[in-house]
Amino acid sequence: MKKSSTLFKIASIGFLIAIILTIPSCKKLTNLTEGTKLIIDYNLIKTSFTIKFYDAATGILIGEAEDNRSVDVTIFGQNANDVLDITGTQPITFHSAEGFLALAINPDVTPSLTNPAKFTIVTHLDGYLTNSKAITVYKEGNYIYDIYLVDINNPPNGVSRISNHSGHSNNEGVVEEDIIVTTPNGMATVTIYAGTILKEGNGNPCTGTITVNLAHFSNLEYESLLAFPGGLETTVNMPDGSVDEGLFFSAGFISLDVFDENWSTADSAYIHAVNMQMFVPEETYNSSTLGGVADGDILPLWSYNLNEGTWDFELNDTINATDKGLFEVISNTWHFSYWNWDWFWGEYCPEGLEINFHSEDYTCDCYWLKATITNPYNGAYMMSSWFYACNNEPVRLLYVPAFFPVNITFTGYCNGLYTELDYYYIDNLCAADILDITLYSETIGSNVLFEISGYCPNNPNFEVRPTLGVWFRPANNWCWQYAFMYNGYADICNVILGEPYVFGVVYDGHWTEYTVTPDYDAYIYQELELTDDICTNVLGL
Amino acid sequence: MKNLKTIISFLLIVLLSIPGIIYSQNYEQTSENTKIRSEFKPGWAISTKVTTLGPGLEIVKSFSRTFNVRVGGTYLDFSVSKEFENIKVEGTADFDLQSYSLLGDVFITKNLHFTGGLIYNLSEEYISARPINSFNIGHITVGPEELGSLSIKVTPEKYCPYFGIGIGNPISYSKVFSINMEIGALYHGYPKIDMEATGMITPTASVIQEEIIENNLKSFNLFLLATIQLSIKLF
Repeated sequence: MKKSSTLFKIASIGFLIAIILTIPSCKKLTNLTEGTKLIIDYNLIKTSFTIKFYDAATGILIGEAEDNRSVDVTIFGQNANDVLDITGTQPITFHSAEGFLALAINPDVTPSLTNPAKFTIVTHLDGYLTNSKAITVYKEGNYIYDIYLVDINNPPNGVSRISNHSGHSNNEGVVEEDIIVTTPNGMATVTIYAGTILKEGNGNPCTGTITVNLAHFSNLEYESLLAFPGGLETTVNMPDGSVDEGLFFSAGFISLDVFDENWSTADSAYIHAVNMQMFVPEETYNSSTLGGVADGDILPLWSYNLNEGTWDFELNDTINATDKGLFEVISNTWHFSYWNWDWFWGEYCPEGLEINFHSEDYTCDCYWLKATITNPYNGAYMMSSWFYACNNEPVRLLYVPAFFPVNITFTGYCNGLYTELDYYYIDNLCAADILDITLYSETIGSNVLFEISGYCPNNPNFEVRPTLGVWFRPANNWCWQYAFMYNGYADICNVILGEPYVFGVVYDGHWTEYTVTPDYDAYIYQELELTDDICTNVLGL
Repeated sequence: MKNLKTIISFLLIVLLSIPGIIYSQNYEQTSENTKIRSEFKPGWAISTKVTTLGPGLEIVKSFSRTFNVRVGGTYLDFSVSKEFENIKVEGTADFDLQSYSLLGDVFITKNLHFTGGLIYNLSEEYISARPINSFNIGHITVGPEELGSLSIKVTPEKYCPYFGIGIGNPISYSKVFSINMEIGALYHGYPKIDMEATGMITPTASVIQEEIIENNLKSFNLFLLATIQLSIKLF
């Protein structure tokens, strides 16, 4: 009996041990995922656009460093509703940060040759002329564009501007004396005749002191052509209602803004048309005659649709030779706008000739390069295009003018690249040729792996691996270079180890930058605190 | 953890030493009771059982009135799914339970016994979750497949010592049928975690995350194994 009792006790103890050990295990199971995170690759975007906004006179990014200004951007055009911020948001107005804006096309839209994605960026910034950029892409990828804005009070080379306050109109908006305004360079003159009635867009008369702001953009100076509102690659509305894309060969451009004493903008003139006169330099190239400008040449006039960033055909003017050996064009208008005398070149190809870059001392496998195309006839700037080139992998320039000889220059900016020749003469950018270019590199840096993980302060158990552009520069200069980050990782090339660098990302009108000295392990990790807007409205946290 | 190992070691030592003690005691008892009890004959039985590792079969060999050896296996494959409407996610738990056992019963009374041995545990558990609807991330609609799915596989160690206590006998000496009930603990070590994810949540399944879950599971190293067994004596 005693023996049984002892054994029973042992058994009971064994049984209890088994139960006791098992119970706490079950409790712990409720915390199985404690400390883990939900980590997502935010790689929904297939087509992205990085836009850089520069002051045309200074060449500095607008909003850079202590300058907190932000360019407001509205989107128009065929795919306007598909244009998103890189994060997937779609505000009515997008805002740049530090001079950068990151846009994307909704991934539901797949651009193709037969169905390209098209939209127009229109910029607004107090003190600057409104500008625009028509964008057409036919395949998924990452694209970079530069937009140069003209500071009204500090225009770039080739832009001559005057603000005239001499005019006056009565309570009915009737101009009391002729208002004659000529730009300081003497190239453009506008005359508003006495008796002209000036009205706002809503029909109200413009009364009191009349201010006329007149600016002339040279058709030969590089800086003024860079800042050409709407760009020279543009979208035009033809008289038959059709929309066409092509390139302007400019004879000159004037912007004309008229305000009354309340700074209400005049929209239209009545009773008398407003007279515009502009001189055309003799070096001007007429693309319709494929030669220099001449007396009697027909010159189309275009007005700018400020809201949509497109040009509307107005009429054909005639170029006259003056007795001073110059050419001039005179036209009359009933509404105020930007006025542009240009020949339109509609021969385009979506994919230009193949360019094969190669180099034996390639520091990086691939580079972002900028092609700048100029007119061999007079050296005038025509267009520029950023593209991504890898060693011995042919690339094509997109949407380039066909059947037209050009000079083309390749620059790597900031990364110390240069080509064998200063420029390359190409007969036809759309020819089925291969252009071989040898690249040379001045600097030999290292590759650095840059990793970012995004987080929301209100939910530490959630992590985002972003897909977006990364800008970087040495801390001691402002020359930004670009790399693309995919799922939180960017392979950044040509970095000098041990030197401090600034890395920055832009999204949702927000700029975040890091100053880091890449060490010899060539790896940088940073956390990105996402904005409340993204955490709440995009990620739903 | 040291305590746990000590306890298990102790129990195993006790378990292993008991047969000899009990057998010698029983042998004396048996000798004394030869006249009133029928002579013991080692026998074989086959049994079916239902356990917390699933149903199974077992072959039982009795060596004495106080000691049996059992060899068997269990198998159960089932899954449970549930849609969590509030988060639009379907969760599934798949249990792939499979084990083979080599156990010894040591009887301390006629119907009360300790059982110990080794279980070759091939069980695995899969827990998975996948979205059932499209989601909007900003103005972008993300389909369920694009968002992806996540699965976690929990694999215990394969060789697991077992200790339990039971009532009844898996092999009867005088009857054809017998019943045995048992409860015990299976030590399966630290379960190994394997995560797999697809789509946007692919990086969730990282080695670091697996290690965090494995660490969370470190105290879950015993499995409560309950058994009800019905045996038929063969000879």
